Amino acid sequence: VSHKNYLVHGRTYCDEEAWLDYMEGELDPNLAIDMSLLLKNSPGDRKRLDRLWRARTLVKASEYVLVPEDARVYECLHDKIMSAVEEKEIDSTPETNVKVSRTLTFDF
Amino acid sequence: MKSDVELVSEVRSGNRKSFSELVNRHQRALLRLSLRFTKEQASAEDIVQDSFIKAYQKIHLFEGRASFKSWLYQIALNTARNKYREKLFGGGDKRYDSVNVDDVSLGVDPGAEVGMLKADVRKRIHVEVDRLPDRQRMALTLRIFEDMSFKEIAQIMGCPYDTAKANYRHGLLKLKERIEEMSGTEAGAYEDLALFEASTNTNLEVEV
Repeated sequence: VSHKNYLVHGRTYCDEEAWLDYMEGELDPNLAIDMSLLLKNSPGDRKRLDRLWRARTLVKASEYVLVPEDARVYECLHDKIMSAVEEKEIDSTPETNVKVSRTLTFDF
Repeated sequence: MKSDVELVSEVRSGNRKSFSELVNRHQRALLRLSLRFTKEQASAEDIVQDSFIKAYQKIHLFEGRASFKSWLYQIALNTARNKYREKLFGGGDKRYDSVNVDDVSLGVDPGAEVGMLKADVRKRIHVEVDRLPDRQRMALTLRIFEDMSFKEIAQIMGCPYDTAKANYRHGLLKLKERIEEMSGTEAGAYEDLALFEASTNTNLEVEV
């Protein structure tokens, strides 16, 4: 499947980028309708969208995080948190604000 | 029921009970998020605990522009990332130990449902997700597994909306390539496509 570009509102999209936005519901509604019409008449674009959707579906289906169901786990966690909080005070010094805003920023 | 913002306001006024309510509301979601990054319950619980303590101490920094949950997620992701660093520098990267990545084939049994992906396929895809650069993995995790909007993801990652979207896009496109490589030939990749479409019963086309 060869790649091509779309000119959308003065911006050039590569086809995968446009189809990914389409899949995620991120396109302007009018443009999404145009893209839907394109889908009906372009098997290449249909395949491209299908491949993206397949990848997304497989990734989503691969999830295996097992969250504990036992309520006692959460009671225990809650109590541990609150007993730690009992020993802490709210920090309101302005110097710390600067420090914390740095540590809370993703830096890579 | 009081909103998170109201509870935060009460915590600021010295009411620790209100913080207890915030913990009850959000600890499960935070534990699930932490488990995605650590894979171990004990480490994940440590992240949750550390995150809530940090949130309590820095509660005056919560401005209410994003939701309390988004703010909490931001703290948890940073905490998880810092713990990962310790692990990487301390004892080596153990994340891939349980998976022999060269000995796994991608394929789906006829009739299998998306929720019943073969364990080896599931592991293989997880390995690939783990291999993504951190920001791409975070954006992808928050979007696909947590169903968050790009606006929320941008708030949590502390970056512009377009950057959050670009990180997600790069991550997913990389995974798509890897999944297709795992599938073998491109033609082979399409063999199970119809199955996935049928099993997810999703119509991607916009109503015209």
